[in-house]
Amino acid sequence: MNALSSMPQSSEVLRVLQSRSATRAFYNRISSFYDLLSDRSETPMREAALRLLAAAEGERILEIGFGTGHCLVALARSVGPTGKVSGIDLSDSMVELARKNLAHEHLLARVDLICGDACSLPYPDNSLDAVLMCFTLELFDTPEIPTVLRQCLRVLRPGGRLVVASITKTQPRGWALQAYEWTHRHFPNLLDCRPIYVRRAVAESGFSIRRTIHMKKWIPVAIVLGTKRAQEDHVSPEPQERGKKGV
Amino acid sequence: MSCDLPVNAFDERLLALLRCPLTRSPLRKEGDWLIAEEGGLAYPIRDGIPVLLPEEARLPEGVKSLDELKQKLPRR
Repeated sequence: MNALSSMPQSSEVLRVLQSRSATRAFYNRISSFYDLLSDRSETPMREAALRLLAAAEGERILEIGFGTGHCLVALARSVGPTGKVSGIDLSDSMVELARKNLAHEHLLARVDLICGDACSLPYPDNSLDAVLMCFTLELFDTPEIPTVLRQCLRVLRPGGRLVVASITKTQPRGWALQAYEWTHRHFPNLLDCRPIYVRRAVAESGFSIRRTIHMKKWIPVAIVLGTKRAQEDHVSPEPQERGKKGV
Repeated sequence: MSCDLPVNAFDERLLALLRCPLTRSPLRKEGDWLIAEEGGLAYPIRDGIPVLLPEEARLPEGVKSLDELKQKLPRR
């Protein structure tokens, strides 16, 4: 308790200090037992996020950070043979595992998987009906979060939906949140994600907030549904990695 | 379903849905590479999985680094 009581009572979102290549290597290493670490605690939230997204037959849907592919399977069933699901993940081992799981379910023909970075989505503007992110946005460093969300806005068609499930900061912070942030601060390689103000981040990136659901695994989780406004039929921020000059 | 692909196959219909993450230009397939129309970065397809990370792409001939390529790309 001494360690907890010495923590700063900050409302600020903690930074993510791990490099992208370190994150990639970490998820490649843990891919084979990732479900053992996360599946039971995250399943109810993932199911709630899928219900909120309400994927319909024939839709084109992207999942960012799909891990071993549980949501991809559900999405592929929802969009049916006339729809298409795309998935992007930084870890090539996760892509491989998810592909095997989809093949096992005979759903591979409805799903395209690639290895890539959500800070620069490799999809055309206005090309998707919906985007899903479950326990992924909080892995990005603070300045990257609006970049990822603006990329989602760019690839969604006008009226398109975004659902983000994320561990979330609350005020005041409960003991579990304090312990979680303490662990992230001191052992960032062990606990690479941290709570963020997810609803605020989605709203500030230009989405209209339609609904927010609050749940708890052992720390607070928020599931946010946002939509792209109809008039924003072409939002094209410059890719971040091109630097100040832009191209 | 009878239309299942082999697990490690690259579905060429995917090309229409993908863009270069750096330039957002279309991609064309050459062997096990996806080549960006603008800039010429070549992204590897490993075991059927496109790896669309500029840091892992093959640079076009005569370009020494990703930064050099970024400088050469026209302003949009």
